[in-house]
Amino acid sequence: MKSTQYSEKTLEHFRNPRNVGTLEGEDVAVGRVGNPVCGDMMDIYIRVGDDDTIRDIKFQTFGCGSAVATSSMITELVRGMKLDEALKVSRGDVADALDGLPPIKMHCSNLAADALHEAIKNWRAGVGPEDAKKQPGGAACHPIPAEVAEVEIENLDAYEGKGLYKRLDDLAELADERVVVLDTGDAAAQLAMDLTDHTGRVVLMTSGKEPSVSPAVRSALRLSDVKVLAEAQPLELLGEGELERIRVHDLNEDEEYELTADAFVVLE
Amino acid sequence: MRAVVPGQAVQPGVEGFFRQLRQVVEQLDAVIALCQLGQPFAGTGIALHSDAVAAEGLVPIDTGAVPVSLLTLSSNDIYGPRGLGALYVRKGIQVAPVLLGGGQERGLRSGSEDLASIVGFAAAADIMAAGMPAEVDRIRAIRDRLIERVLAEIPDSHLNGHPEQRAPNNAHFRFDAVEGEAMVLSLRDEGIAASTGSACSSKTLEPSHTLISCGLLHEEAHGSLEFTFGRWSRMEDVDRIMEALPGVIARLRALSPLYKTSAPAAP
Repeated sequence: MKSTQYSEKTLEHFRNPRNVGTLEGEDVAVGRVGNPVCGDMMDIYIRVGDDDTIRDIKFQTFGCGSAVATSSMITELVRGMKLDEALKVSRGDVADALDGLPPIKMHCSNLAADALHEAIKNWRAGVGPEDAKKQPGGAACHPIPAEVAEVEIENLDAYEGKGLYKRLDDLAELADERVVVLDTGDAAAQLAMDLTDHTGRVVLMTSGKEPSVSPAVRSALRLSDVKVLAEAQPLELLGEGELERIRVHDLNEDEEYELTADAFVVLE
Repeated sequence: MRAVVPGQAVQPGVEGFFRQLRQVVEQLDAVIALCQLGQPFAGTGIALHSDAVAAEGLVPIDTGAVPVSLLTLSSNDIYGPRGLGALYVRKGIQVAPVLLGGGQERGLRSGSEDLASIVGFAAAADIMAAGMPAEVDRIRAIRDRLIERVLAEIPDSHLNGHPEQRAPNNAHFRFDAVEGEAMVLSLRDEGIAASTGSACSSKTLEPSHTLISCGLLHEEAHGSLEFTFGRWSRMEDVDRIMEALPGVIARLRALSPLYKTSAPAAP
């Protein structure tokens, strides 16, 4: 089971979590993130000294192995730190301190840094523990990781007129070609479906679990000959002179592969 | 289970209905009266396909009584060699081949047959058929004992699925304010293998659609834990589980901000 491929250090923190519990007092603030609906929720309590340092820290976490281990680890990392320093501790730092987390866990069960930052924010804003815990957790269960959302496709412009299409006036131009259409909404999906009249090899590539299209288009897409390639992030266009392949990041398996393609359509 | 309308695209709604039903059978192992289910399709030209791998070896499968057109079985589910399956095809039903080539298996699946494994599959089926009624009673007694003890000894524990109309080898629980993957990991440390429908243990990070379809809330599906029993299970295994499980649940609840000795707080 992929999700349990945890490092020994992660498992050790899961088995023997440090600093479990709650804190009380005038000098205490709480950060709550996550939501039981999503399967992860954590509270981090900090006691702040006059010198702006974290004098004590405790946590309570509902969640999977990495949710518990990251909470435990961050309490060890930031105890005694100045608040400004603690704000610089990132999700990546927590994962590194645990000798890494499985890729799929990096963005869903690695909320400890967020909870800590929330606690510091609440401390500075004077938000008391009870009010802090009334605030809703994250609205979306599994946000698309920022790094992925911001990925730029390498060499994109270099292939304009050589396999990259930002608009397509004559669909017959791509007759019998291997076409990959990037999911940019209903228009892209409709174009992909229209293309199936001209070629049997149309892929609609989306970085999400499903194309970002309206329900009606989604139904039509299911019945069409368009192959939907989900959780695929295009990284780079490759080929000698003309487009031959697209380097793709498989977000589910966290692997890279190359997809053969004659045309890549990214509607503007 | 899958409804296939020859020469016609399957309606998404119908397909969706059957997809859900199939998963209920697979995961919760609810025993569904296929006989009743199949009746509305008689004479409509719709072929009903049942994936029976979760039922074989536990429930008698009589193709004379069950109006399915196609039925899939697997070898490893009845302790036969791995990597084999069987497809029952009712007379008169035509199936399109999945592979073309040498024309083996009546042209349906080309490629040299693995004869030794096929013989092994048949032998496993013979052994299973001979011992099944007594074996099923034995497994059910172990399973019932676990359900009884978990519900009696662990506070805020619940059984998922129907108390009686369920496959005899399956016990599927949920525990308030505890996440499933954390339970599975902790039990693994105790040498006990269990599974969960929690999103956190799946590759898609979505909770089990079956449990959601059965009316569980997302937070409840995250707290689900499943045990299955088989030929090598013994009554002592229940004692071993109950040595470990209450402590695992108590430890995780002590960590949880949601557990307040009763139900979890509303999200």
